[in-house]
Amino acid sequence: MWYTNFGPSGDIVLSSRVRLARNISKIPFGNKMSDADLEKIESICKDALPELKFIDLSKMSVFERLALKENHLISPEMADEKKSGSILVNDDCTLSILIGEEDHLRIQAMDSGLSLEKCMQLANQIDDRLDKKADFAFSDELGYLTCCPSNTGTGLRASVMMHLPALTQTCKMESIIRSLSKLGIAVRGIYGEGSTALANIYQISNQVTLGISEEDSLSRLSQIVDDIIAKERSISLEIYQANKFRLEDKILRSKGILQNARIITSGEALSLISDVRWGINLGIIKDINHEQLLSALYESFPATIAKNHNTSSPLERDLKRGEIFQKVLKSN
Amino acid sequence: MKCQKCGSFDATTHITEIVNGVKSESWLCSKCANAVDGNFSFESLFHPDFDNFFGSVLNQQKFLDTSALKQCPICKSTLSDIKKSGRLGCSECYSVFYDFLIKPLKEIQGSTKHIGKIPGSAKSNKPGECEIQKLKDLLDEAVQKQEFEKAAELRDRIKLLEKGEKEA
Repeated sequence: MWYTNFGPSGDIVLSSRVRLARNISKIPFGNKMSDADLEKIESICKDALPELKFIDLSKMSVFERLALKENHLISPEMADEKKSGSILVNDDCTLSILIGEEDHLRIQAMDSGLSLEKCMQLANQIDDRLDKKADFAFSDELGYLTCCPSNTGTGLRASVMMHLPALTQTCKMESIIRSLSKLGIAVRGIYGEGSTALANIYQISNQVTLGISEEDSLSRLSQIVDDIIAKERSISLEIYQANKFRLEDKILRSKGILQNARIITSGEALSLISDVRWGINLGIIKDINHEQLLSALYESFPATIAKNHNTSSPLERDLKRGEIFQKVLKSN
Repeated sequence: MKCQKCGSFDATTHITEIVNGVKSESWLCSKCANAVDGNFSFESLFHPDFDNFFGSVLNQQKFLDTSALKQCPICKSTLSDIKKSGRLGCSECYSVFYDFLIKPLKEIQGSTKHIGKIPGSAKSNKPGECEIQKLKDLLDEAVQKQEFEKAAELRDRIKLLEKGEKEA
């Protein structure tokens, strides 16, 4: 799958995504619409895009839905809530159209590494084809009208997922987050106990959708992402030069645990993976590559384990996770 | 301390989430923390929506009590529904509650004029014209704010569009 590939600037950027929010005029938004409305929207989409695979979420088990979420095909809202909805997906799963979320349609295109333009092209093509069959809710002044006004205008949310261990370790993320928010760029990370981001992973996305064109949004975001990549690479080398043995020790210990532990929780796995990724980038680890690491990561997400291996308890999942890492990360 | 999610067991796990520099903390019992872990994915970490941000901006505005009674004829949403959820009920709500929405929109978006893609249905009405008008409005705004670099960029874009129209 695309998410285990090593894409452009794949040493730092895990994946890119472009999402367009669209609604069909004269039908209430997702929070207010009826089952008949949903069916009508589904049939418009199926008619416009007959080659895509249609998946009815209401006919799936919770774990199957959660697994779709882990593979980026649906949003947490669609996975968690017991409501109807469906998706249309292409063969390589780089495109999914979420039908019946808070907006009628969320067209999302995704790919590995830094590939915002490629994603935008795909999302745009699909939007154009849907536009021929559907009358989108639009106002000359406010643009595409969406359920939440934070999306109104272009309806575009472009985002990039980045792994930034060096910037995090040197406490530079806080000032980066502060200055980017002034430029209409949002940075999100999740923090476990203590102050370092879990797995040093951040998502950087445009926040503003009115008064800026799709093109400008994307180029502004790309430029910022390029800057962050350059900073991360140079600081990473500085840290390594200044603390060679300590850093090698930390990274190789993490690799040892990931390759040998019997029981691993998803949180622990993420922080170990972060160290190993960094080790691969610095040339400290040569017998594991990024793609191996990514495929072990995606295979070891909780719902994917539950779905593929029929495990029932968290302990069973953590045991299975240990097994997956041992198998996938065997030294070449 | 009791778990902030279920309220029945002692909290043992501290979870901190920082979005855009705004920190939210919670203390959970091991059971609820496990549920968070069991439901773990990048999607949950990074769903890039801005939640009820709009609702809170809308709440800061003072409205007359009578305006709370206003209702959208299509989806029956009221202003207090919108304040509560931060969400509108249908596209018609944008015109029904326009006067209440425009200021908070400006506050969260920095602008209330769309530039960018236009759907086919809107294009066929007046080709190119509304795009140019929008750019002209933005140009005025930029000049007023003395953002001359931006103004020059907009002027070039307008020229280009006007030229394209003449040729067509």
